[in-house]
Amino acid sequence: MLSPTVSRMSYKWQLPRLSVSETLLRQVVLGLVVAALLEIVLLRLTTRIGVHVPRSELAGDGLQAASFVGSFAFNSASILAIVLTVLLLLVMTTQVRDRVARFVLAAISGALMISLAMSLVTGGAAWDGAFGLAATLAVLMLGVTLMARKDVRTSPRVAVALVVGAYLCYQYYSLSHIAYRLLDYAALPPLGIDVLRWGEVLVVLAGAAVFWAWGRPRWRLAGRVGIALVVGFVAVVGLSTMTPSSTTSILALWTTGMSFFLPSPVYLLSLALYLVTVVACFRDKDAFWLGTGLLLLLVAGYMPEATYHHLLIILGVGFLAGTFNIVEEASERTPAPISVHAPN
Amino acid sequence: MGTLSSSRRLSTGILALVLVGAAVLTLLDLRLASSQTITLVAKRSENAIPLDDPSADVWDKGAPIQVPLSGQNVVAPKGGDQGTVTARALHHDGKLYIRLEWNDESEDASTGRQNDFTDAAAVQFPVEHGESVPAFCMGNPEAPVNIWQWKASWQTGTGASVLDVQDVYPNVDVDLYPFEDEAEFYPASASGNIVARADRTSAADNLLAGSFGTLRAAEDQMVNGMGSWDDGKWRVVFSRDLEVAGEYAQFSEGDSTNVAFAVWDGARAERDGIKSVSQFMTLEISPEIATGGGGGLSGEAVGLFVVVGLVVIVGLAAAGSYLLYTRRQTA
Repeated sequence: MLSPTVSRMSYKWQLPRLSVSETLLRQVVLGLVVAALLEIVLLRLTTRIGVHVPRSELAGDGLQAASFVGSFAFNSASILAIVLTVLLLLVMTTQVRDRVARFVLAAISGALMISLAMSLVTGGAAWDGAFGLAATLAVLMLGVTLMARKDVRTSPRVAVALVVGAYLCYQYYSLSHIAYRLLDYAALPPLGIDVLRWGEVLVVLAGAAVFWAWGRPRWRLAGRVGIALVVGFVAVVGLSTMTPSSTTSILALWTTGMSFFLPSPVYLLSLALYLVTVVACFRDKDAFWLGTGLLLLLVAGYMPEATYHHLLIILGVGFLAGTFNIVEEASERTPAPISVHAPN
Repeated sequence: MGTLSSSRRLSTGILALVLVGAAVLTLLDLRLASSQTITLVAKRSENAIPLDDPSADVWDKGAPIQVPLSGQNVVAPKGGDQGTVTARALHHDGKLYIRLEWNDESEDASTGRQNDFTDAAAVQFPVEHGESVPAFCMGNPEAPVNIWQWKASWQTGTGASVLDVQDVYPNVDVDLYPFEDEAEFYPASASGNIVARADRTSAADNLLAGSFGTLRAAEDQMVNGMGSWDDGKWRVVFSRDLEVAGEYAQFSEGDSTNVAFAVWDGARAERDGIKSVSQFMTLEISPEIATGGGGGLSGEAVGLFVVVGLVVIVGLAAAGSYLLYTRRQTA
């Protein structure tokens, strides 16, 4: 439960320390995961694959219903993502003891929330840019926090570095265009498309790295059924490239933001490894937050189209890096600083 | 135990509030999110924009965006191998102008032979802009799209430059062609198919679609298009009045809509669905005057400024994060 404790004030100016119970956090995160999956399935997949559905009245009604429920899921996921991001950044900020560290964290969190609110209200380029920059800094901060730790194996560092690197590549493409627009400079930012392509390569590599870091040690937990489901899904996607009505580009451009400039098998292999890791993490009761982080990143995609997708990336990287594992059961609450669990 | 159940009650309450909020937003047809895609801004040009010169200097004042493309892989025939397209937009005297620019090693502007295919380009807008963006591949039945398509072969086939068999096969010898000028032997032309039109005045068509297989010529052909190929690069300008009568995309100063692009490379036998496509971007019609000056800084200086600025920000964030961690560890 979110509750203030003032017993451990180390500094005169220190805020009341907040904590959040794992039960509360798990339920809200599960709500976000369900809403995000519904959004991606109903809004970004079904209505778009709907171009293949025969144009009967019944099919049309079905697609409209899917679109409505998908919009509802989108709004639910968006609100939950905002709530969770605010909550976790607030808890992190109040639990950090050092003044400088707290200032850095508070500044990034504050900039993120203010720019998000202004971007939602005004939709102006400057606020969009400010939100993008704040989100980039937040993701970078979470990633670097993991890099700086000595108790983490190499493979999780590599996986998180690739995820963060890919996000930075996309953000460079996006933010450099916004910067040029704000400067009223009529030219193309340097290396924009090249960096975007490198980012896509990092995404593909991240699939393998994620498996190396968290999937390989627990792949047996995925079980035959889990692996069969993943292989079946990837096989359907792969085979669909050979059919007249393929969902490949829908899965690629619309859903994940990939341009598919590399050979298709590379993407399929990466996707299979990533999905096996997700399944294995959810089958491992100690890896719930890892599985959640991976799933949120998958839903967000490589080219986040909306503010909510950026928040999913912040949450996803936070869970992968172990930075958001600041939960504690209220019944046994100890006023420890951020508890950093190694993301093994 | 009591605390655990109170946690559950609190989370249930939070989720219930979220669902109510989401339901209200959905019923109002609102999305609690702001688009983070890059924006093509069409500022007002003080100078006239010549349609017959896609390389005119006035375009230097339009801010470009570089858009990644991918092959169309949804319905047969699939394909497309174009990497990127650069787009600029301006408006002047009540008309919107969009220029597309992309690399193409060869100029393919004739379809006179069976194995000739033309270079082409298209821009696509939702007919009605709203929170729900249509599918970028030809729209949805309930959310149609307005497409402006330019073809190099239509440009060479416009006005007095219409290609005939003799233009393609100069040494062809025809003894007798008995059905010339008899409409029943030119069914496409006789039925008004705009693709077969010989009296075309514009190299760009105004089209409508509401999903695959529904592409049709609009009743009103009011889109102009002109392209020029030079040194391995196509530059194509589209233009149309900002506001027009009919069920077409409408534009007005201060408003935004969506725009997507497609490119065909004739040398690679690209036609129909074999094309490279982009996702929907945002198009903003700005009332500001296009200066394109960049505050007097040179292009290199601005580029350097952006790169260095981003590197500095990234570095500061990294240092701050590291500090955060180390201080926390020693606390």
